Amino acid sequence: MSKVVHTMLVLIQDHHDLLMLQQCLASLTKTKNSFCVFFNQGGLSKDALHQELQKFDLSYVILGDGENKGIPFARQKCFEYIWEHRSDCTFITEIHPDMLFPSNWTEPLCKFLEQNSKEPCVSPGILTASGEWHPHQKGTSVVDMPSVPNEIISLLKWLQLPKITEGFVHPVMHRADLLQQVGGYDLNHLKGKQGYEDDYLLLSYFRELDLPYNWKPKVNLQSMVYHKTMAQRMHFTDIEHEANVNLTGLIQRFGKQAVDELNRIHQTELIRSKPAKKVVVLGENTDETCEFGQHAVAVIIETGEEPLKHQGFQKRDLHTLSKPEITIVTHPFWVTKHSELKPSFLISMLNDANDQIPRYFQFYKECLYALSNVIIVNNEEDFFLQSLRYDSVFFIQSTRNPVQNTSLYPFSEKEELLNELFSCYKHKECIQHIRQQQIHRKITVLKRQLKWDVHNEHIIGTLAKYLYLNGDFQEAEKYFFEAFARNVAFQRDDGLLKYYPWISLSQCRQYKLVEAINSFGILAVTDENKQIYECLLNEYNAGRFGTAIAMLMFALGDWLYADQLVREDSTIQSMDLIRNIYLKMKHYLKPATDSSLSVFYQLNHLDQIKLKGEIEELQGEKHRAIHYYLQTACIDELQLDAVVRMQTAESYLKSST
Amino acid sequence: MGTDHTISILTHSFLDGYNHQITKIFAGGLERYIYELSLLITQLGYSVEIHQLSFSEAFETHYEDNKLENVRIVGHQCSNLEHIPELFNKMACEASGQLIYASCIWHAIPYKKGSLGICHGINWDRIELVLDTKNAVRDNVQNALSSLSKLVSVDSHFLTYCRSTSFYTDCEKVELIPNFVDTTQFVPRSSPNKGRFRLLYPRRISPERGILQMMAVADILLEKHGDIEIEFAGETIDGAEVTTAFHFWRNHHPHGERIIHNVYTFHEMKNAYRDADLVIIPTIYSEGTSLSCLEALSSGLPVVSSNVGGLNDIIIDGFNGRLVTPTVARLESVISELIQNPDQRKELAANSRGTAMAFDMKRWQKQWIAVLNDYLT
Amino acid sequence: MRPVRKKEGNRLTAIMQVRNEENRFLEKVLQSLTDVVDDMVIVDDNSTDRTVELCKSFSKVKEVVELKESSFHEEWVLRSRLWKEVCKYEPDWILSIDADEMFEENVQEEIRSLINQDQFDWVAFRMYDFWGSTTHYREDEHWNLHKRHSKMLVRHLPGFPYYYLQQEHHVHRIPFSYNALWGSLSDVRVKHFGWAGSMDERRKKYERYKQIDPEGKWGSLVQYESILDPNPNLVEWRNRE
Repeated sequence: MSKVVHTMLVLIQDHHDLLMLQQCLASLTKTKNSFCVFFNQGGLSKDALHQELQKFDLSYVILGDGENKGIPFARQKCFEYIWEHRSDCTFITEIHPDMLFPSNWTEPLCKFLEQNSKEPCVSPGILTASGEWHPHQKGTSVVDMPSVPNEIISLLKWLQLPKITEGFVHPVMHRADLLQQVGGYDLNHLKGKQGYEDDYLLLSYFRELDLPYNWKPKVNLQSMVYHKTMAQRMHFTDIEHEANVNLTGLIQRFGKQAVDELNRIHQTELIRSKPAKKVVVLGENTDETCEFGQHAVAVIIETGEEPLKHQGFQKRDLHTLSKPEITIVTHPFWVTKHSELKPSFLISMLNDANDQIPRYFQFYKECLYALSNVIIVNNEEDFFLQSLRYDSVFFIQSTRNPVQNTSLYPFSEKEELLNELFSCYKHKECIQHIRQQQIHRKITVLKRQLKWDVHNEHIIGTLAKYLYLNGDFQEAEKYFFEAFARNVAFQRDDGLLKYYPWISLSQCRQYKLVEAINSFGILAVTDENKQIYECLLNEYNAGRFGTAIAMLMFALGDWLYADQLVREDSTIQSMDLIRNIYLKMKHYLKPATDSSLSVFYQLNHLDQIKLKGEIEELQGEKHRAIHYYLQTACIDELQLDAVVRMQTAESYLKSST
Repeated sequence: MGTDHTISILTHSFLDGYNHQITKIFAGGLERYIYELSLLITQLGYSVEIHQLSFSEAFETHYEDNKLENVRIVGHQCSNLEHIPELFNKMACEASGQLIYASCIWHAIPYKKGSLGICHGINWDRIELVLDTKNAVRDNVQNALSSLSKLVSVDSHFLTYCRSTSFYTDCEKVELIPNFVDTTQFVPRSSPNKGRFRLLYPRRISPERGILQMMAVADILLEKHGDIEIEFAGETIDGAEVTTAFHFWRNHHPHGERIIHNVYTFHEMKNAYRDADLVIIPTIYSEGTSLSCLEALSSGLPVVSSNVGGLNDIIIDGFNGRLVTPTVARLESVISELIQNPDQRKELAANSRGTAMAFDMKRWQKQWIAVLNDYLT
Repeated sequence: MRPVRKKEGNRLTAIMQVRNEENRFLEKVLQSLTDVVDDMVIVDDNSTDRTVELCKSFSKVKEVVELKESSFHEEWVLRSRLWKEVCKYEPDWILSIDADEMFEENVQEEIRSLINQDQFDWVAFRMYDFWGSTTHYREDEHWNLHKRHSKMLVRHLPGFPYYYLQQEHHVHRIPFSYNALWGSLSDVRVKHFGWAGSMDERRKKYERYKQIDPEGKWGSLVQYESILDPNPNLVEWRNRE
């Protein structure tokens, strides 16, 4: 018995067709233990076909009497034969005579279907005669095609990638039981000889198997097959007519919305995304599940002694690189190098482990975050903290605690996010949209969890924070108070510091300023906070509400909102506040604007020189940075620390590259 | 030799106790002063014992060279500079001879009454030093004046400081003995310098000596004048931030090939002056009668000096050097002016050797012998 | 707006729940409170004697809330009610005290210094159970409240949530949300006269406890039993020097 049974329709019209069939079968025999069902559509008699097939080490059966009754008919006959006579098989393929198969090409496909029990079918990647690599690099010729089958086959092996992508091509491997469950090609609806039969089958799967709304067929690139022509050769004069017959049948069965569904099914990420982008990774790639996105040609500049584990990456000297579109920084010290590349998009993706670097980490992390277009963190608390400070912060759980169901879905969360970001990084709204979706999903999940675990302080507190980030301040406030109550009830005693800042923030965002200031007051037990509280009361009592709000937001960590207020509300005149926001958010590292310059010129002499030093340092101008830092040290000796900091970062990078 | 014939010098530094290289004398002004003083004392027939601090483990050793013989040196372990008063007390208790408190006069040291002290200049003249500290120093100086029989000051400023902030009745309590230079060792070079125009910073790589200002000034000078080079001739302290910063600065300097760093022994130092065209002494605070400044003058070189401490006793602005407030801008401006103006340099240099002669070592020895004879009898 | 914590000029309001206290310690207690607090808010739990009248005769009593239906068996309802009643006056500090409790003498100034500060938001005191008299207190393994501190005095913080455990008996007199705040333990002592009456009174109380809480759900059965101990260890009260 064979686990896999192949089905192939054979139509031999000339010597060339015969040669292709021979080459195809020769390659197919390299994969053992399969059975083939051939359907003779014409050109050779059944005996002649037998004679041909017997030259190969194959178990097979031939169906059909040499008449071409169309593709759906022929395939369906093959399926029905298998369901009846080879019911022990697990997988059924649809293959073609113009293909070449590397040995054991079915194995990765079987494995994928075994591991992902809900997927009804999977295709390998294919290389076409024009050297195009389907489906993931459709439209671009990526290799010069050799002419000898053996060379083609070795090229196929070389092109294999440990990746799953979305898409549908032939050959395809079906799960035998699910194919039978949906009935294969229903000839009542597919009366035409060709056209829409693939779509019909995909829709059957989608509808009958109740697949997830966003389901799309998958391609496992660990298996690569050569498929000479992409289009079926048509000899029917009225192709359009035959296809229309099938489309009518399809709509008859699935209704008009079927067309939309089909559009969605075929809207794979490949169609959505652009060709590969050049991504440079600065720092270690310690994340085993993340290969920096599927459409990235990644060049990794790695520190540490760990050898590179991933395919497709090259380790390169920074100086030999041309300007990348996207740079990913995974270690804070590397931010000092990013200026050499001047990417148009900067992603920071620091590891938790980086926190163990004791000194100077914070400074460079803040610089990196100030400069980043996207910040990806792997700690949820850090996510909340940074989300209040910077735009476009994403949270992807640390890989050390893998999310459930990763085996069901081919990409790690991080890769998925990067793929999405790469495809739309030029549009800020699009990035915001992705982030909004992430937050919505979290809120839904947490609310569901909360139903089963109503007293779970952590769930309540986390939900409240997501609600806050989502702009649902009233609901957030309610949940923060609830989390606080749970904390008190369970005698955890850290509720005040944990939730009161958020309570105050939520109240403030609802313009419940009196409540917000009172909450701040309750929290204000340190000398620093007492001082701020006094200022808040003064501002409030003087009727400077805008200043009070911005001051409170900033003190409690919502830098983004404080910054926005300061920019938009001309009544806010507190220079201290404006200056503190400017310094903390490191606006000076970004391209200067009139307003940022006006803040700069109000700084004292020492701060001005210091910031000039930081600007130079982050632009890679070491000598100039040192010159400024020396001048600050002439005023205050402790400022010399900046030079020591530079030296520390540099020696770290040197020792590890 | 018995107690009667031993003099114990108490100091925070003599052998290199910073880097625990206790076979050599640390290359600083204080250490040279103690060296010369020890020579003088032995010439008077006394033996010398030195108690100092060690910033690693405690030690006891003997030092000698071709001039100075068999000086016992005890290093007292110091982990925290705040322990200095107790450590000096410990030194005093363990000392076998008559005491000379040779440094740290601004600390609250419990002096043995009637001893001799030396003040190497005012080191609390840092403008941003907090008032509390300055007031504490005033009290400590008052205590020193009340306890010691005599205090030798190396410059006129400390003398004025005592007169203006302390109360005492003995007009001769503070004895001014300006520092010295061996004018036979440090002599003007006979042939003109053939290489690049060279600036010399003959000081330790240390903030109070103006190293930060000097580095910042060097950035500007090297950029502005393509034909100059700058030598930093002074010790570094391992692990100090300023050392790290100095090396990092040099390594990243676009004109790094024109920045030279050397550490010389006392005896090699004259070579540094021989190769220099202009000497910069940009001290920020804590300066007595600078030995380096005197040596530069003795070597017949023009000097740009800051107007800090005892330097004001030596340099008359526009006569034997230039005297400036040590900011980057002012230093740079005066140095650039001198680089471009050989006549002015020549004029200043013409008066420098003569100035140094007034500080010749023989005068210093004579004054000290008088003080010692007085103290020892 | 005024600050949530003031270093001076704090107004102190006492709160008390009462029920048929006429012939017990109420008058003495109100008299002693008059010296300590600025005003008082009292909730009367359906008294049938002259308790309400007695309360109203003290000028510092700002309000007596008279409940017509007793909440005696739902103590937490009573406590929450009392809290709500006092909060409407926005006091600075609240002293939660019972009708049979008194501060020791001459603590007026100390109490003021405890509230006129901005460092902590609650104060706890040592409470002594007087036994059979007003001269001796009881001290043994079941009666040692005075070895710990009990929160009685708290700052009123606007907007700060308050929760009482929903218990029928032995409810903490201060909302437990105050546990999240900083507090101070005072040396000032509080006298509790709940057990200072006759053996007969104590037996009645014992019977009531056993009736309300027969399974020891809100308190300890062993302690209930020890009420009847014929020879409890009594210690003589000494006034402070």
